Amino acid sequence: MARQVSVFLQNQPGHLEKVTEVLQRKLINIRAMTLSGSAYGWGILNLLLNDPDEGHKALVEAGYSAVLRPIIVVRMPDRPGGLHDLLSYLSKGEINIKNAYATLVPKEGAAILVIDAENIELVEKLVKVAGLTQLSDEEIYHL
Amino acid sequence: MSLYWQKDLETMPRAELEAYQLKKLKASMVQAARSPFYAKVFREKNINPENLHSIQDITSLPLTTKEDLRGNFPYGFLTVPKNEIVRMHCTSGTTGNPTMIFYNRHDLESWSNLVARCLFAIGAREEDVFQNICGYGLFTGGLGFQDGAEKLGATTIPSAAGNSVRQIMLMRTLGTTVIHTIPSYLARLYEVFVEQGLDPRRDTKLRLFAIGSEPHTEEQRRRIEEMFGVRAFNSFGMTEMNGPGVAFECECQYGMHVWEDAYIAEILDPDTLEPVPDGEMGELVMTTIDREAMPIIRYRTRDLTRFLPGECPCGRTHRRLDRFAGRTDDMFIIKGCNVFPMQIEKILMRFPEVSTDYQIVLDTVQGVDEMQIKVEFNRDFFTGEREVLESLHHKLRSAVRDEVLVTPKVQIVEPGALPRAEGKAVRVRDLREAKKGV
Repeated sequence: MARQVSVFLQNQPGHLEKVTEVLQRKLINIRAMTLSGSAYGWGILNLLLNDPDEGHKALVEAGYSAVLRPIIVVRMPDRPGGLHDLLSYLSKGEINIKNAYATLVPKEGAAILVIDAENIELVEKLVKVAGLTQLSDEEIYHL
Repeated sequence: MSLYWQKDLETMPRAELEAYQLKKLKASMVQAARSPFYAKVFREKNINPENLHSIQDITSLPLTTKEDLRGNFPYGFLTVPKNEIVRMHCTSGTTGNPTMIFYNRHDLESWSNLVARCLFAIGAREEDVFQNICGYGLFTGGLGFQDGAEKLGATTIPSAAGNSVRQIMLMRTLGTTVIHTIPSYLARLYEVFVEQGLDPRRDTKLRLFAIGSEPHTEEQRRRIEEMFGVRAFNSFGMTEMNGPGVAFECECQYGMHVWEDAYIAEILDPDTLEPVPDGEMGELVMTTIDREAMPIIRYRTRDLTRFLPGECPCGRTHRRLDRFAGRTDDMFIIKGCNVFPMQIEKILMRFPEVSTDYQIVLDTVQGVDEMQIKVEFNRDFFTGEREVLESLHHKLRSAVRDEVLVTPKVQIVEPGALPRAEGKAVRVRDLREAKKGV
């Protein structure tokens, strides 16, 4: 199962930069990311990395609160309604998405959606039913 | 094996102990009268040791304050010729003259004996390897524990403060069994163990901690014991009363026996300055009765505590002081409420999701005073889900509000974000405008 790295960060100048510095030093490549702040002075950074285990290890060693969370990455046709088609299947399955982010993969002419949800196995089934494909771990880490 | 370092003194029946104290107090007053300060005070107030008929009569003697010590800096309290002095220690003196204490040979002997007695009471013996992780030099915790542990006969490691990696190397190489340090440092030390892939429970021979010189809660002690698999004992000392070794927990871990053959402890109502009944909180007032070079009579410590009523199962007759509720000068007032930092600490320690480090910042934001509480998030509890953090935020805020009646601004910060002090941890920073004007 594919994984992303989630990091707890204080919402202060320079804190995100320190994270990217740690990753750069270990030559870890970021495939996609989101940063969401809270009203309380902190936020959570989600990173899709080419080597999540190494990235997680490097960040924990640098003193961060970081965890690996299971995700599923779905390939969507890059056209209007592409995301809607996928979501209509997921909502039928009563899937509650905790966090999601999308990015384009120009070389494939497709877009991908990274999904963090409670019931990953069910999401996988629904994706199949929708006639869409899920990216393998290899494909994700070498996007 | 004996339980006591000095059985006769430690288990002396109360009536006998009080008679002993009265005799020592009178002798101490005669000695004190040789200092310029007490000579003047006794003359002006017509004080005569012969007027004391019971130990309770100590309340007729004048109190001594920190200002008196500072105002008569450095030699105003000295009772012996300078060439008889063999050591001095002093406080940091961040707000004026430092408080300087002088010791002659008798005083050092008496002091190190009391520290040895404390270490013996927690179960340390001459077979132990004792590592003293605190500042040496002017701070009394360094040499005070050093001398006491040597007197006990333990192998001593004067490793002093700082360099946690070397501290761990020393304790693993030499098989350290007993450590003296400040409680906030142990949390830091544990982090370094973890960073090195070590578990102190498995990779050391540690069995006893003596912790003190920094107020801490019962919850914090339990957490330290849990982390290291070591029993931790609370220690009380202050430079004005020699340093460490004034009061110490025994194996019962319930209150600190104050060594009443060397000190007279009183608990007074800080407003009326009248004694409060046993069990009631008040200000601790201390008198030395076994010190020659610089006796101090009825010193106002500004520490708030109480005598624990009843007898201790350990058999020692010396009364026990409760964990300190704070200092009369630590208390701050915010939005009209009196708050002691220890009240906040007690609440924070109920939450395993936050580490033992915290900071209270008082600030004026857009003309309104606010209390910020910064806590470090314990990374073991991070799941990557914001709901978990938000719920912790709300729980901390309401728990503090319920206790002190002021709603704090809670700030959960990254692990390691709060400053680690080499000495005592700075728990409260007051940046309020009203304060700056003073």
